[in-house]
Amino acid sequence: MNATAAIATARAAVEAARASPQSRKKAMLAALLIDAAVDALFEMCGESDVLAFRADVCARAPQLRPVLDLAAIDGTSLVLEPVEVDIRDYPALGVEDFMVSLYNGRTVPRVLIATPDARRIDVHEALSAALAALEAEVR
Amino acid sequence: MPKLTLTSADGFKFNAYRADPEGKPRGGVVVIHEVWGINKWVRSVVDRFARHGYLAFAPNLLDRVSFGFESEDYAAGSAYATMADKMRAFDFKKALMDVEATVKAASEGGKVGITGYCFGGATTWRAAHAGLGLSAASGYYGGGIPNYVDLEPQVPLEMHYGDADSGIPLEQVEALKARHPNVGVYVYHAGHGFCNSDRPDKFNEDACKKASARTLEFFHKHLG
Repeated sequence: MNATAAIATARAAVEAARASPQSRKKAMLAALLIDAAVDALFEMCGESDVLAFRADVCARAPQLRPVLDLAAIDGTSLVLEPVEVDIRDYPALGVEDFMVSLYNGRTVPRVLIATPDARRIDVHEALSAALAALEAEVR
Repeated sequence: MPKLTLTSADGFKFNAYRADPEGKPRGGVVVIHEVWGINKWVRSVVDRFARHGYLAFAPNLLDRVSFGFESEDYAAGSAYATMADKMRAFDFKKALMDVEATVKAASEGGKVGITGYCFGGATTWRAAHAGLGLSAASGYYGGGIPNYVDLEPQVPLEMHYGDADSGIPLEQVEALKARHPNVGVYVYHAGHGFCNSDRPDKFNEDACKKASARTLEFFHKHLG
């Protein structure tokens, strides 16, 4: 698959994951497809060392790092955790989140990237940022 | 009068809505609302159960945090923050006391079942766990599954969820089903709130018809 097609496939997966915001499986699939698109970009560029190429891409576009770490399936993982909603953020909350949060201690479930150093990153924001960075690389 | 006041075991008086069937009731049904109180749609659900022959009630379980609260405004906005702030004081244990008082009132009609939607769905599971004199329970898209998955139902129970519910992860529904093989867990191709016919953006008639038919069949089997 060429890089353009690979990125289009990854974009569709990122959109599908957003449409099912609580699905770890769809988020992981999107991460894997972004990872595959980086490899397709390597093929397109005609470089000789794929690991060096991936390191260079991540250096230029650090937004890719958490997603590629997730795709490596080695220490970084996806978790579904309740996240407390600040009262000031309520007006912007989606109706489903609003309804469910009211009787669950003002928390909503969120799919998060859990890093080995115990940080948490919203997976959908990470996927969108990584995809945008990848598209910029192609341009 | 369809609107009335019931009294909980601790003396708290709360609003409720009642609908009577024609003739002798085949049983009683308690309907627990979403997070908008006993509004027009909830009252229509109570009326529907009465048309099916049940003495039906809906208690306002939000009265303890905001007495008399009910809303037809489903739009997102700043009112969310007000309600979220009030719900800091919400206590499921006290809410179940109000459910118990409502079950007692509905038992005038015979064996009593409980159903509920969203907030009411989670409350349905908790009520099934508590027993409360119920004979059956059928809940809809109760969010916060991790908060009730370990509560063992004491009465026959079934639950209905949407596979596109952005508030309830499907993997949690799957875990619930695995944890409770004796509970009927049904999944429909629908989103959250798929039975609320007052919300065209959420209502899924096909899913709701199937789920409602299951609830009715379940209550016929366990209540009469």
